[in-house]
Amino acid sequence: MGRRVSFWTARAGRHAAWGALVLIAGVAVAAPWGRLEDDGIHDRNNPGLPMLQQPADALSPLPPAKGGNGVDWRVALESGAISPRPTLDGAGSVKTLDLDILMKRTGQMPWVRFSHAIHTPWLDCSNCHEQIFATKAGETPVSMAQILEGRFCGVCHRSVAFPVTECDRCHREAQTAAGTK
Amino acid sequence: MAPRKPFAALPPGGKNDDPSSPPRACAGRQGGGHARIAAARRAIGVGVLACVLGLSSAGAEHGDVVRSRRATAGNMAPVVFPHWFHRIRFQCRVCHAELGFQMRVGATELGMGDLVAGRYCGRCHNGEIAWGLASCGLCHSGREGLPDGIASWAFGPYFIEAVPELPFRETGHREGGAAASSEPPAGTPSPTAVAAPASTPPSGPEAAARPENPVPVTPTPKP
Repeated sequence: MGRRVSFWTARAGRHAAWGALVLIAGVAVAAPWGRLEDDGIHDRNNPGLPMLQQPADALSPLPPAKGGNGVDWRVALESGAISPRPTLDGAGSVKTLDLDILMKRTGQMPWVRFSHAIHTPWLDCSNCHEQIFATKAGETPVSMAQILEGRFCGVCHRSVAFPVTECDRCHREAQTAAGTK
Repeated sequence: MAPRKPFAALPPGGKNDDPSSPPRACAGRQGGGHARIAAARRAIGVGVLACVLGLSSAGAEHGDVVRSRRATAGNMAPVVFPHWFHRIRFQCRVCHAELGFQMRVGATELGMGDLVAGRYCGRCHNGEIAWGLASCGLCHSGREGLPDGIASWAFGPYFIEAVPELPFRETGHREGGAAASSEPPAGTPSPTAVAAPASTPPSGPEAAARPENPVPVTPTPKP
């Protein structure tokens, strides 16, 4: 009987775990965006709250992605789904750079291919260089632990850009004997 | 009592080591199995409920910044800054290079005096590009008692960055902002900027930073 009880308990536990997984996946896929009045940081009694745009209204039409805002911001920009101003008054042009940096100190993980071409349509050179990364490739020792602490890539990829849970969006270069830089 | 099977011998609390203590009612007794199944079903129910409740209030959006200290000191509700809203309309470089906001959350010291003088948020929130500074509650929309921080999807609905403790190289920051206003670098508390009263008409360098006197916004080339 004792064996049977533990069998039932284990089965119930498995069911609970699967149920929770399915629920999380389902809800996350269906509606990744909460409403402002329920997000835990806005004051529900603020009379101005109805004037603010709800995340789902702005983000649901944009290209989807896992994690973060549920939006693939790179695709959103490249496809023209959004066209954020490059300067405050909308005039002028931006300085972009097409240069990939291959980061190979990744242990068992695939190498990291950092693309300036993806980052510079958003960011100015001075946003990263020199205060976060040295301009010379390879001069800034980056570790995953420091990124998780919020340094280096983690300055943005912890809380604003796609989060560090999306491993394969950075670790996307299979390790080979030869590599480019 | 039959020798306990190893699996059944472990009560959930792990406190049944004393052999003199009576066996638990549900441990291998007639009906105990049903009780345990019922308990497991209740657990499932609670778990499902928790999932639904937890996910229906999904938490702050990834990248939502809360600025609380200064607002609270001034008896105002904390400011909530939604990154998602602003990045649809402006590239990162506009605020983080042109307007002088540092990349690290909380590292840019600013007060309403700065905004009134047309700096930082005040560059847009002037009633022309975005709502003006008189619409207090649209920015000061956070609930009371929030700490400073930024929400991260990966670290839970409201993850607090340990801003001041982390080492952060201070060289060369705020070049774009420094060009727009002849002010000490951000991070250095500037009593004049903070104390600038709302009634004082902007003049000198502050006027130069007003939107009606736009400053050239060519990207600063790095050496």
